[in-house]
Amino acid sequence: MSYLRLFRFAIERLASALLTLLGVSILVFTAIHLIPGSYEAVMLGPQAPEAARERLREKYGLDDPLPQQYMRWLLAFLGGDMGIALCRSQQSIGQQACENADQAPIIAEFARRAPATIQLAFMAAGMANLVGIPLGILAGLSAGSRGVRGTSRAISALGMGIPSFVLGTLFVYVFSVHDLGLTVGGYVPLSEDPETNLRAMVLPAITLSVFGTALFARTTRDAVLTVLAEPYIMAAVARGESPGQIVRRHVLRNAAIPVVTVSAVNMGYLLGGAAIAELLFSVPGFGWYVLAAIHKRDYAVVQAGVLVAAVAFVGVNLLADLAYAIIDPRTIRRGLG
Amino acid sequence: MKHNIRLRFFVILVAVMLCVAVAPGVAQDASEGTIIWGVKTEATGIDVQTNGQSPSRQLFNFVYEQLVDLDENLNVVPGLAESWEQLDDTTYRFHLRQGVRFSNGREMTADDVVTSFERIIDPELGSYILNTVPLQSVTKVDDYTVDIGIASPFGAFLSAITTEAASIIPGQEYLEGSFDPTVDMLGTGPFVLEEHLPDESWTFARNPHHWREGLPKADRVKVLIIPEDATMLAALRDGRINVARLESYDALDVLAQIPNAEAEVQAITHYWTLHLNSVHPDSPFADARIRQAINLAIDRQQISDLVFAGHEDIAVPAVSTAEPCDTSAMPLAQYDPDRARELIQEAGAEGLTFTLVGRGPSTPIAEVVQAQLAAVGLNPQIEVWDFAEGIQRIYGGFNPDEPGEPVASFGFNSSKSAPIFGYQNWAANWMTGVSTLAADEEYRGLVAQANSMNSGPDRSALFQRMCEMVYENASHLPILTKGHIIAHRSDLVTVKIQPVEAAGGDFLRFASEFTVLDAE
Repeated sequence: MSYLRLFRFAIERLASALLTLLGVSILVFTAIHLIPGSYEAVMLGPQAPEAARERLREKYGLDDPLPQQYMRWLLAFLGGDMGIALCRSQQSIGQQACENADQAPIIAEFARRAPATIQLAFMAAGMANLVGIPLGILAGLSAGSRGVRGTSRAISALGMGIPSFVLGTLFVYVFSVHDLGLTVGGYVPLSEDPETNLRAMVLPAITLSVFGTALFARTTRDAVLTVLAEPYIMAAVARGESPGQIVRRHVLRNAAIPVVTVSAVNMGYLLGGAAIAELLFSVPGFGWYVLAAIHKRDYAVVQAGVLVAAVAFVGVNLLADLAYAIIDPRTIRRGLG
Repeated sequence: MKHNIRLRFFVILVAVMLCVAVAPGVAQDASEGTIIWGVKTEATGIDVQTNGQSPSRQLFNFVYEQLVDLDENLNVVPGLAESWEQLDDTTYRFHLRQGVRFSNGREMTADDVVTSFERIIDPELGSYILNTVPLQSVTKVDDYTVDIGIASPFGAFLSAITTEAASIIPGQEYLEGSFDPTVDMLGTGPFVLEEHLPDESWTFARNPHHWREGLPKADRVKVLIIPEDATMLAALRDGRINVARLESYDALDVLAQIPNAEAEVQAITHYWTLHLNSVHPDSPFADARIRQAINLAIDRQQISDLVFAGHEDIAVPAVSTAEPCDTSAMPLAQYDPDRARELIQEAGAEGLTFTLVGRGPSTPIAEVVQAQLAAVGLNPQIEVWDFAEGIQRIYGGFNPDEPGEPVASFGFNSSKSAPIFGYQNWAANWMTGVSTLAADEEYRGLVAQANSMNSGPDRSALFQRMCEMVYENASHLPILTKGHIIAHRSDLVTVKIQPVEAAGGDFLRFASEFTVLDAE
């Protein structure tokens, strides 16, 4: 019965996720075409005659009605074709098949950049989890201590209050002027040179982790405090369970759901490409690529990029939903109404 | 006990991360014989004959060459043509250098020149060179001789075809379809494109067939795209790059602290301009008095001091940097905030609010200008538009019937290597949606007249009149020249950088002469 419920729960969440992705694709397609500026303007500049601009629009089907362009893109995407980006070096935006052997499909470019973004996301999420959650638990369990409470609040406020681009800029300045061991830029793949890779990735990871750390600390503390006020904690105390047992068996498990939720949101955000950190520290990741594509009005890359980011976001949240079901099976019943 | 084990594991993990973090930095060695050059911006395309954007043009000189070239003093010198002669007012004959080969090993002949010029003459292609020079025909005389015809006499013809758009592409391969200049690069230049990782890097390898003896000196040029100046400086300090082009003048202070880093400010003939849309019917700048007031209120020296650290190479351009006009007797060309206030009052424009558009590096200039205009009673509001947005909103449909938005916006003008180019841009077709001067018959007539003249007092007199018209009309204001900050690691490479260059993409024109010091 419980497996059937879990299966039904998963199917419902999957259907909801697909609907969300369709909505995202329509929204992004509309938004990118509403932004002033055009591909042919970037490619040809203001000096080009109208005939040349018209030729380029025609070549890539950009003069077709938007619904027609969207359907063409959607059908290609569903068929596994994200379109063509830079053709070795020439920016292209077509949804049509690539005729030149040198042309690079967007999917290949995404695959090339994914390791950097995934590594950065995992490092940042790992740092945030490793610091934020223990800090939150400590703060929750030591609610009576003004010192711990104050420190926890200060860290949370500071971490959430500093925008990552400010912190990143600060790091870039300090570490570019002074030789402090870590490098600003200089990314190489982890498999190629782990030491150089870590030197280049620590600063962007810290930059991205600070907000998550603060968020986890605050969420975990609140969750722990909420659980500690539940009657079953009193019952456990009355049964004579040790404080360690109560924390492990009752507090952590029951406080986990909101923490899993924010972890999933944070991870989804990071996997979607933390463009600012990638840009500041020259990490050749997914976010930087999509951001650059927006400036170039490379529609196919933006559409595919945002959709891939949305898939990551929705996918991680889907996993979180399933994790709820495992942590607390009651969520299935609630979820299924 | 379990707690202790977890705690120990956590402590060890943190310690390992800290060890990695604080261990002494190890510079990544430059590849042997490789110039590693940091640039801020990715190319927007590689069609050498159509792409006029600086990020692309800066790559073209590695691969492509033109019939004629510019020397260190911006004089026209032989390139792929070893000599030339002017047959009549509109026809030039070029004698090609023999033994020049494309990087695929095939010899360049007159057929390649014919195909190259036929391609750029075709208006359908949309090459920007046609905005400058009225190319009309190209004819093969023999395998090593070509005649190029222009529609009307053009004194700066030779200078005009030193631009990248006039590069010679392999005509045979182009016509056969085995080479497409929009997706590949193939020329006679010192390097050949080896690899491109979008938004990350370009790698060029030595062209084994290059005709200039002993060049290129380096085996490779690797171009790394590093958008942030500070990140670029860090890379220069670590030796991950050995040449860098930087944007901010503040970088000069940091460079002074980097051992073996040497910086040069290379003057270029480009300069910042301010467009005041005088064409849009609802534009606040439809009234010439307001435009003139804005020009009078801008203190160029203060901009230079605040934005460019008062660098000596920054100057106020008098329309053409190649042959500046004399503005000393032109009241409208001076800094005169009192007169600006009077004109604003006369026009009833006190407190006028309008949009002042900054684009990329011009934004700091916009901030200074905003304060200067506020001081004379205007109220500009800064907006920052990216390149694509700017082109559409500023220039509109590139004609007076579809004007750009009624805003003030920063742009560029270029004198290239000949004075006339500076004046031509004021009458460019693509400016007709912005500036009433661009469609002004008298001004256009003067441009046409000056086009056909060689240097001399008569042409200088024409330039002087055109200069007066620029300041009277005041739709398109010269602001300041700009420079390229080029830094290199003197312990890693030797470089040849000219104190002045003619165009946006030319600042590493002599990269083939750079030497990597640790190369065997």
